[in-house]
Amino acid sequence: MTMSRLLSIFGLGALLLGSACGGSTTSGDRVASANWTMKINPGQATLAPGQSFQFAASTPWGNQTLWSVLPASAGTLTPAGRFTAAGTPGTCTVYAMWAQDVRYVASVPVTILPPPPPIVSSPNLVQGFGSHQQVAGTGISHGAVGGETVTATTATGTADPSVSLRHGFEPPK
Amino acid sequence: MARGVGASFGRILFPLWAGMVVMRAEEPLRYGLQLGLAVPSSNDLRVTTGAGLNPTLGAHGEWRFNQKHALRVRIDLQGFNRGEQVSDSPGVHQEIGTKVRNKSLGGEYLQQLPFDGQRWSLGAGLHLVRWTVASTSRIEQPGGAFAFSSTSSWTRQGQSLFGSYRWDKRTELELRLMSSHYGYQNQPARTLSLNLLWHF
Repeated sequence: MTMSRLLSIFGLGALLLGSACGGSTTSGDRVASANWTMKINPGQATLAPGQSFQFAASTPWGNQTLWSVLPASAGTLTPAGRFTAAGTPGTCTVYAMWAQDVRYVASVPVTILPPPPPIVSSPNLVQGFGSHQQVAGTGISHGAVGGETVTATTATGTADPSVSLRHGFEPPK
Repeated sequence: MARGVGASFGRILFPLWAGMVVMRAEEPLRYGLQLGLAVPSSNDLRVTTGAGLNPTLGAHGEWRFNQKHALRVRIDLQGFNRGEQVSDSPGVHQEIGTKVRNKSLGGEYLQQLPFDGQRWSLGAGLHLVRWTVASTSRIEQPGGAFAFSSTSSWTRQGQSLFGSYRWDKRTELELRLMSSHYGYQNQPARTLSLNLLWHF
């Protein structure tokens, strides 16, 4: 038998091997099923503009995580997974990929709320009729959301002595 | 981990050493090279790697003790074509590109079959397989995209079964099934290869 015949058999075998390449399969490393082993806690978040929030991601084999947010304009993420929302309300998605094998991916939706209207509270506020009044009080720029710490600012003013106040019921004359 | 690898080495090399001690070599030690083509035959490896035939390359040393028995030590390098997986869900497009390769060191026993001039052999072997998977994952959605890359390696034990036809003193054709595991989820990884061996 000649070498050329040997190579012919080798080629035929290679052809048979090639024909065995096809076929549909299932896999743990598929795109659609690779996510089940990686998790982000919590599973969703709602934040006020400018508010920061710490996410945590884990796999059964370690916690080294690469973070990203889309759209990128929605906020910033530190390498440790701390997300700070930008000033624009809307929704975004925070992604975590496992640094050891980036085929493992997890994501969470994040909602950034619009800023709430200003709230003013003052124990000195007195209701008057038909006139404008100025009182000393404490105002805050917006209400707290989700346990956010809000810095209070103090506003000062003067009372207008010409304002007549009405207290209680006045019987008709 | 190191202890496990050492134990696997022991399981592979001790039978070879014992065989050399017990048997008396009738022919001198021979060396050679092998070249072949492989396809993945396990589901996960088929999905992770690209389509087509994958090249294998290696070297071996062989002790033929008599007309029936032989032992062989071999090193093989195997590279798989790059695999691409794409997933589209509403508003999100994801692509994963994966390049898999492995290096293996193993010992094998060959039994020559008593017909056709003892040209045919059947054999089995134990191997240490170093798997490496390099991946790039890219996610795209309205407003942007990002991509990260990673490379991971694992050392796993492997087993082989093969049949070969010895063409002449220098040339041999081999069909080999190699079974191992890889990945963080330890998925089965089997390959079927057709190799041409040259003995110097």
